[in-house]
Amino acid sequence: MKNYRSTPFLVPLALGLAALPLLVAVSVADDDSKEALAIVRRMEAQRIELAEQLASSVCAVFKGGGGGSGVIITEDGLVLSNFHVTGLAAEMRIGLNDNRIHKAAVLGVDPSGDLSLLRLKEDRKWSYTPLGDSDAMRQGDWVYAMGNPFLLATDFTPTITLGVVSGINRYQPGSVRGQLLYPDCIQTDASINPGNSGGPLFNFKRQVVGINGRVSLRERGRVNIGVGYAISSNQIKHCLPELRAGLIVQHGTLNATVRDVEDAEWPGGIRITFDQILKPGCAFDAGIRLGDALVAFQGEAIAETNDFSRYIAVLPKGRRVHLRVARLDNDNKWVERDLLATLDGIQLVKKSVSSKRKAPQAYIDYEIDRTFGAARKLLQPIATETRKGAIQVRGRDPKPWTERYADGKVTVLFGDKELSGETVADVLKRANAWNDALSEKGRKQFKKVHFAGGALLEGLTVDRMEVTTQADQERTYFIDLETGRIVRLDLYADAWAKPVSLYFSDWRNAGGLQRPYTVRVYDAEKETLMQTIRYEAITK
Amino acid sequence: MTLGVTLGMKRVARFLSLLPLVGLLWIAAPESRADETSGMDELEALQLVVRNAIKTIEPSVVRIMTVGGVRKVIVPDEFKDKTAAPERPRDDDGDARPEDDDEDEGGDESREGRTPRFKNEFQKLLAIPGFKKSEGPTTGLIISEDGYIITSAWNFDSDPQVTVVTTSDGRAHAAQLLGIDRAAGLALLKIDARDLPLPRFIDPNKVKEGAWSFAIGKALPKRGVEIKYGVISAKNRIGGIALQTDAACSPSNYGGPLIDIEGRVYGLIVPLGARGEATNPNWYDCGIGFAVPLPDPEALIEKLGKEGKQLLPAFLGVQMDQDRAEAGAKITTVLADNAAAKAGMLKGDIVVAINGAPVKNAFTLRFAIGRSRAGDKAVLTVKRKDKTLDLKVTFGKRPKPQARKGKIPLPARMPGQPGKKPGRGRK
Amino acid sequence: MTRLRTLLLLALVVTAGLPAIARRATAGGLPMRSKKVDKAVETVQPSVVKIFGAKGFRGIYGYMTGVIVHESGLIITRGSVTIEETDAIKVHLHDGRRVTAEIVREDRRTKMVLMRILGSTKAKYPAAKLGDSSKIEAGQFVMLVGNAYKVARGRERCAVNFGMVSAVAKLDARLGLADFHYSGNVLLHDAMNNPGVYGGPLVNLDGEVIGISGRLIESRDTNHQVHYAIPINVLKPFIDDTVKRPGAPRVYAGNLADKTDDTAAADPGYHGIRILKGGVIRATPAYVDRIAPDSPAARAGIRPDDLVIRIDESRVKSWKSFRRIMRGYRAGETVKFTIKRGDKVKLIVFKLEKEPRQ
Repeated sequence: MKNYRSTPFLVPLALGLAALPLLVAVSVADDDSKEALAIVRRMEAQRIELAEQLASSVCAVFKGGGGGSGVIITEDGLVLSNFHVTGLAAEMRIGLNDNRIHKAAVLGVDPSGDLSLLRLKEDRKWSYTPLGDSDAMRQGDWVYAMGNPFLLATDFTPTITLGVVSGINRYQPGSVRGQLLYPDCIQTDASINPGNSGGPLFNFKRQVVGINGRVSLRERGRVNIGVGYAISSNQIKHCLPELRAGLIVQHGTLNATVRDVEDAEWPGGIRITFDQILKPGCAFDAGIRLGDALVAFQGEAIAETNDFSRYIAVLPKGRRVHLRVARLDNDNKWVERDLLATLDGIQLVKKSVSSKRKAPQAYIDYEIDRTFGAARKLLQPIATETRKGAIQVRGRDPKPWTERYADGKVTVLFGDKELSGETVADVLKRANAWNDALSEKGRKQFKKVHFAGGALLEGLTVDRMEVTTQADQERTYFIDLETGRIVRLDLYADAWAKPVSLYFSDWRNAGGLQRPYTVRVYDAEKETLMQTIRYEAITK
Repeated sequence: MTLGVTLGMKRVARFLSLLPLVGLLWIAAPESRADETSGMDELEALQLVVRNAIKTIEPSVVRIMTVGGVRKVIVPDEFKDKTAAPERPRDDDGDARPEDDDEDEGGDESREGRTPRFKNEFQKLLAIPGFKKSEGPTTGLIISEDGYIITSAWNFDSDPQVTVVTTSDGRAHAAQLLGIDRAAGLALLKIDARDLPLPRFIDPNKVKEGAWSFAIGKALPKRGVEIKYGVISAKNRIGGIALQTDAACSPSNYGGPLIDIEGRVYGLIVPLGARGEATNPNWYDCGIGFAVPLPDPEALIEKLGKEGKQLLPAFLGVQMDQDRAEAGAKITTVLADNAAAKAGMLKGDIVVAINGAPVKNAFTLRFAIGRSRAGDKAVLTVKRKDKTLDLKVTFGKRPKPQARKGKIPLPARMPGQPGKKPGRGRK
Repeated sequence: MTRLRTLLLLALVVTAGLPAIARRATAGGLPMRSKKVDKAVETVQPSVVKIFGAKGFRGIYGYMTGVIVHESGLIITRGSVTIEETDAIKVHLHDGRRVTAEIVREDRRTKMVLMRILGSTKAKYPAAKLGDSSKIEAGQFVMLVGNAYKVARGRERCAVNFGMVSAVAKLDARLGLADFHYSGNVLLHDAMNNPGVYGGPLVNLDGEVIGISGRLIESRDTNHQVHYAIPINVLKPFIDDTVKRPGAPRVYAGNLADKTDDTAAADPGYHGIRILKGGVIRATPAYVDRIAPDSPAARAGIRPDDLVIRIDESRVKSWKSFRRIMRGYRAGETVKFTIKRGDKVKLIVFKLEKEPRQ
């Protein structure tokens, strides 16, 4: 041990240990402020970058000497704004933050829900921000409102204001006869002033979660007081098919009203009761009577009368909805049952529809092509002989049959025999003929195509295309634009001598193409299930 | 055996001696430390940063009080024809109705919140907060150690007899009004002082939309300052002279600085509306506020440092092609007898630079003119056919702006809102 | 040995640098929300209630927000004729339950009232966490929670507005035509107060209630509307006393013991200054006309032709303002005058006395 020269090592050790506490004390105090500033600077830089990206999709919408705002939501130039900004005009001038004016045509309008859909005329790629999920927002979430309040943007660069979500799913009643109804709003304290109307409310995920259109006001004037309302993106998504089809949207109504009745046996102590039912009317036709209690709508429990108003008014006229109602039976017990109803439409004020203006057909055709294009992309035309395997079908017929694809044709075989005559297989054969229809010729393959608006199928909003084929057959395609899936196909089936609705589900990749593995065949009128056909792949 | 032990001990000891070094390096590396203690939420961090920013700016912020002068009432457009010159509302007997600070009784709780009956719409307006124009205290910013103070021209319309400035230490000083910049709504004051603390300024070119901006005022709090939060909403508003913010701006902070998170000044908050007109109570705290950058305080003192001096908006006298896609501002009309004509500008000229700074499009040039004042000299670089010329321009005075008659479609007032019938309001 | 040392030093450098590398890797997209704000909202909302009284009229609203401050169902809110003159006040709780309440206590100074939920005395309600308002500084972030324009009913949530504390200060203000009733420090903020929000909580980032919202008032100085909340510490004695003494009298006297309100007892303060009365020109400033001999002002050195600009922190706009402000001072109180004499500004401090017998 005496050999161990400890001093050279102990000195630095001692010094270092002595210095440590001093350094810790000094650096902690300074570090807190430095750290805080570093964090703040970092997040501020990110916010600035986000604002810059978003601002390039914001529009200043001009009409005459005045105007409002809008936002580009697709890369090919669809623009959303308020109806009270565009009115029924055919064309608007749009200013973007490139300091230039661009022209846009107005497609569909929603006078009650206060929306307008436009399309920028120039064919190019536009800077856009897609619609997000407004129901995923929470109180306190950051939002940017952007637009052109007081027409301040002489160079068309948008005004950017920051705020938080004050509330979601706010129901704002319409003012005159259902006009300017705001059934599902995001309430925000981001500064929204005259001129912001039609402009976007963005979340920090780079999505549009609302279109600003309304504010609460005080006596002094029409300026922001921290209570602004934006039409929710989820409401807009419900109406998009009609808007893209160039139609005038009417919002849904059950033609019945409810009120809350205090009843301790019900959840929350409130029973939502029907107290007025119009005859004829959607609720009456569905079998609802005075005194019935509303339990759920489209699977969502109803706890407040505002919920009821909101759920229904958010949907356009014609949507088919599920209701669960309860009625007192003879034993004074509440018995629940499920109903389907087709929503009536809230009458529009005459002025809103008086214009003879129709959206330019070219733009509607563009939308039809877009929808069929999405479906076509999914279901490639039948493969050539290089395709492997075949698909076996089990159906109502006791004997299974096989569909074989070759040379661009479908052959249906029972065992080894080729099938003929009117059978289920025939129906499917014709349904499979969708592959022919979705050829490169698109809508030109058909004699006539009418973009009839939208539909609500199993919680999904889909486009509804009414088609007359070259063979004069009437078909309706229900296509989900986002995925390209044909969710339903209505056609007349000789096999059953009646119109049927075919629901396609369980989509899987089958030998290189996407196809549904389950087809449910419904009686189109009675809406009863006639048959379920399941496919399974067999390898050869 | 002993040797082995010794060597082992040496190794251990050597290793131990390195530990303090490790410790020092660990503490010294700020990034590594930031990571281990950052559970700090962004808003908590921002609170800390803002507190420091307030401490930084506070010493340079002053309160300005004016006394006397002609009391003014802001008359909104819709009443301009219907009423006579603004006066105190009168009773049936012709006596002036008592105003609030004339009441001999104290506060009357039973009248709390109730709007009294008025004979006509105009009188009703006077009861609404803000329509009596404020002559109350405003805010100002020290821009020189010896007491030049910049503020907004808000209080000086009424020709007050006395102006008193209170600095952050609580001392009151008599102030002299010097020049007024009519284009930006700024007023320069001078007090007699020494070694006053100066603020730091941000280069206006470095400002970005979306950055934090805080409005500082001293009208209300007796000690310290008042702060309101927001972001930079836009640049180049009001013809290019102002930054726009959504921090609440009102008489409580007109004349005060708009600062960033480190307490540096973006600009001075001014009571101007969208087209450079004086603001009215509709604009108070509505989330649209304007701040005029002060890129060169010394030059400002020179320009405004004489009593009675006024700066007016610049005028070039041209019209430009706004739809042009290529770079530069194309001149489509040269108005006779104005600055551009006198400098030799011709129709068709393309302005590519002003005082050396490149002109991207018509807006760039317009904003540069907006930032200039009548009498300023500038050099416009112009492309004419295949020649490049430098035109020397002296800006003239801008003629009275025409009111824009645009209708901004406004959302309908909500049913059940106080004071008005439901339905679409007036545009 | 040298190699070991080198290796150790290398390891050192890498270890010091690793966290920096790690942090850069995680710094990704912006978060949608502040976790603190989200948590603070979740913390406070269960105790926020929507109150509906009698129908409102001409500027008085029949609906407001309240905060449950004790688990027995004690709610604080801003008083109003629409709830004071009503039999059964309807309250909607956070989960949608409808209950009724009655007012049990009033605090005249702050105009806040406490009400109790009627029903089972054993029922427990979610009470708010009360913070410490003495620690509040300008620049602190806050949320204002309230049912602006009664948009929310039942289980729909009261709106959340975000802002910061602008200042902690006393206000010279008007509420309608009356003087603002509260003379202490209030929390000024920019989170936008509105009808319906009155009585609602001002909340800090930890979800604690640091103030209760008053009504919209107008500053006398600037003639613009000001958003304020009464600091919670001022209300804590009011709440605690009510909890401890269920049978206590309706009007809470605790806060009236404060000197600043005790105007009835003492004599008015006498200064000896006669101000030049205006009337020739509107808004005549307060010039001193005469000073009574041997008066407090005379002894303090105030002279005729002095211009009184400020009395303590209040601005003196005119001779009438001077009279109104001085009415608030009692004999024995010290007052600070800011005067302008020639081109100099002076501060003169003196003590007021009792009016001398004629």
